[in-house]
Amino acid sequence: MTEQEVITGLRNKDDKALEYVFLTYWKKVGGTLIKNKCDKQRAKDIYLDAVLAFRDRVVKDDTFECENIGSYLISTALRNWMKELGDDTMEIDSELPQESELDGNNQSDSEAELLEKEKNIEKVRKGIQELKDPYRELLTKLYLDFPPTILRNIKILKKDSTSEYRNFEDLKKIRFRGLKLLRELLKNK
Amino acid sequence: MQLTEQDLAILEAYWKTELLEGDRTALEQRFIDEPEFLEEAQAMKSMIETLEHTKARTLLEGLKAQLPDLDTGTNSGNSTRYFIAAAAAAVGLVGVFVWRQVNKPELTQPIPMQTDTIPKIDTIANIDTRVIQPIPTQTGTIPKIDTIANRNTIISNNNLMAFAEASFVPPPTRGLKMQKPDRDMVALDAYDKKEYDIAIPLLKSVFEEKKDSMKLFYLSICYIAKDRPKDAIPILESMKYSNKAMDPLWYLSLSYILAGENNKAKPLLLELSKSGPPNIQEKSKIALNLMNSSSK
Repeated sequence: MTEQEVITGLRNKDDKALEYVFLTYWKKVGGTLIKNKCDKQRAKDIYLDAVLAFRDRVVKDDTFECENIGSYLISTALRNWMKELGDDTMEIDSELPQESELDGNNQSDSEAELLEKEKNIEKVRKGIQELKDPYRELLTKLYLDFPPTILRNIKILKKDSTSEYRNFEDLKKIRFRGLKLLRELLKNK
Repeated sequence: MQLTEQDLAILEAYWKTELLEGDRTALEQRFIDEPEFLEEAQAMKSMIETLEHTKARTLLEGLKAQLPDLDTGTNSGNSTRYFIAAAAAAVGLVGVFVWRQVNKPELTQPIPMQTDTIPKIDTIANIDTRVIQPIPTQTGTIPKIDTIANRNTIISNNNLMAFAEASFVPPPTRGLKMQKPDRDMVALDAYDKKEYDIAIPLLKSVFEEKKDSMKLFYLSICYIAKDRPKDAIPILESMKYSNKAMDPLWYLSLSYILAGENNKAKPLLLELSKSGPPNIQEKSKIALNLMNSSSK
């Protein structure tokens, strides 16, 4: 997979592209974190956040391009690790993307923004659980289960003979109705 | 205001840029006519993005167990192997170097170096970070400037268009978000979020209603961002000497370059290189140098 294919895949919400990024760059990024005295387990968490931040950036900014995903991830992960250590003095290798290149507005999410993000995630998680079936079930399968109990790409669903949903159109309708109900639920909270 | 399932289907297609031209225009008109619908659509988009983010996190959390533990310790066996490999590589490189020196063709003319006339690009504060693929230089006579530290972006000095693209940074809206929530604010918000497809019709309609030239300026920036420099040119031409704080002259120069009209950009760049704000002066000089090198 080329870097451009990865970016296109992420923009098309292709889980395989995300999986590819996550499994491909771990050694490079994790190795750098561990060399910088990061605990092995913590390195995995920081790496996960870096990949997620990269994915969010690609999805939200359709003008964003990245020549070297590995460098981008190392730079993001190292900065987050240094922030965690309270060490702002570390000089990032000049070959790596600089702070201003990592996020569109020259800085990463502030603590408040991260908290807000987490709060929103928690809200939608709880909201989904409050829905009735089949909406709760479908949205859980689509967004909260791992491995996805429904195949990853909704387009494949119609081929799933074990699915209780009759066809793709049914699924689409249930998903739209579920999203609509979820939005109403969150709006009223 | 509640979205119908039909609305949702249309909006999802719109977000994926899968709507046909006619349907897209109709939807954008609806954004203008029904601000509540637009607001609800944006809220729905934001909720779906949160769901997609949650899904991505769930997937990665699940895959985390598959990440191998990294062995960071070095043992003597590995060290020896690395040493032997490095030594072999060094011997190989020396061999290649000697061979090339022996077989080097004679140069009839020295290659003129122009690097001292080209200001360093890494001094520009706000250069955009979009990656520009280098366009291969056509001759060996133009030295590359890809040795600049701190930059993944490689800009070859005969690539004026690439420089213009890299230099294009949409300016943020200024202190306008304190206004009460209305169409103006929604338009500027969409602009700041780089949702130009939404911002364009809204800015157009707000301008038509209020004749606020700032909206027109932001509209021109949207056009440049959407790779429509020719639509931006007439707007920026009409305001090139007003709203100076927003540097319309600079954006007009970029639009000309991106539209392939270097001859029109040149006098503006000359003017900016002498009397523009410091960062624009510097960028203008670079653009002029690139223009000169590419025309040689």
